[in-house]
Amino acid sequence: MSSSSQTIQETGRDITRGDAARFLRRVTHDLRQPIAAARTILSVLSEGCAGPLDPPQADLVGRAERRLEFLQALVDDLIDLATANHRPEHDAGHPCASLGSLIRDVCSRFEPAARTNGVALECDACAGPLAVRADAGDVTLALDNLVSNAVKYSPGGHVRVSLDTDHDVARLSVFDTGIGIPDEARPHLFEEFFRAANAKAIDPMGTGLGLAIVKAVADRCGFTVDVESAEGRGTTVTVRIPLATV
Amino acid sequence: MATILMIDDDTDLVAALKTLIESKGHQFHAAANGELGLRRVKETNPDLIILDVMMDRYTEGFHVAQVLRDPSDDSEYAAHRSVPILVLTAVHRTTPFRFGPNEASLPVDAFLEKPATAERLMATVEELLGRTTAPR
Repeated sequence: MSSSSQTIQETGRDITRGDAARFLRRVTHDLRQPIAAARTILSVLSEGCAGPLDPPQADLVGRAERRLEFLQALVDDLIDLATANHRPEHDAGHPCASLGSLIRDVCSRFEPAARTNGVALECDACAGPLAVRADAGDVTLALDNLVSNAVKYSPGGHVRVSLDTDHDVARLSVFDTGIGIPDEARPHLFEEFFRAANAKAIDPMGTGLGLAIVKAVADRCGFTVDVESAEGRGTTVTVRIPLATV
Repeated sequence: MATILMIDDDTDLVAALKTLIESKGHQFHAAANGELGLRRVKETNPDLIILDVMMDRYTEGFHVAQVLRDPSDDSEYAAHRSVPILVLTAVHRTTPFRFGPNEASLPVDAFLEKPATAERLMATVEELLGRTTAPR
């Protein structure tokens, strides 16, 4: 082995999950800024602030806006995936002291999206403080992605987020009456960038990172994730999080 | 017509907001960093300041807001203390920093996460300008 390849190999051994996450965060931040600027520029154009657009011009600007919207969603999901895999120590938030409040906050943030998609979003979380052994930011990151998926893939349907306890764990369930998961897609659900065919049909611009983010958070934080689904009938994802009092 | 000062080092974003804000009949000025921005505050006497957080330094916007809102009697920016400040930033999404308006570290009036649509930006700008219709 040459000395240079040995060095690379040694360097490779030294790369930790934290290093990779830091690198990804840095790159995605640098990507996000020009995307954000370009989206604002296109938005100013499409509003006609630089003069009226004729229909073909407006069509092209609209296409560029949609492409950039996807690119930004991808970058945002990559930032979340980096955080899901490795939350830097200086980014440690605070322990989740009230899982019910956290769930209600997440649900209220998705209310506008649910209305737009004709989804009845129901939050069935107990009012009392239920502390879990997890960082609130991690739980939010996982739940954001689960509720987002449920709302997106249940047009005109029903989504219910519920919370109860089972011995020493909190059981957080996201139930939907959406498109469900085809049997052939089940083994790939948590793979990065995987998208089932029926999900692509509903939303061609999805990133395929939502459930990978949920899995990465769960693996790092000691949650378990179970998925029950029937294609065309709906999905229930249940996350079990250790209670803080145990 | 209002006078709006944008303090941001992203020249493309500044160009977009200049087009947007001037198309609504307002006067637009810009500065590429906090030091220039503070100087331009005195020169242009703005009715609203649009402020980025991360410029030459990670928290440069914090410094600008704190200087402008300095409550001491001998502050050289006392005449501009009540000018509304709109923070336009990607800092929440891309860094671990978490903050909200009116906190001591960043005493401002409103936040918008980049990218903000033209419609959302102007709605926020007009809302903040509406709070200060009385001549100062």
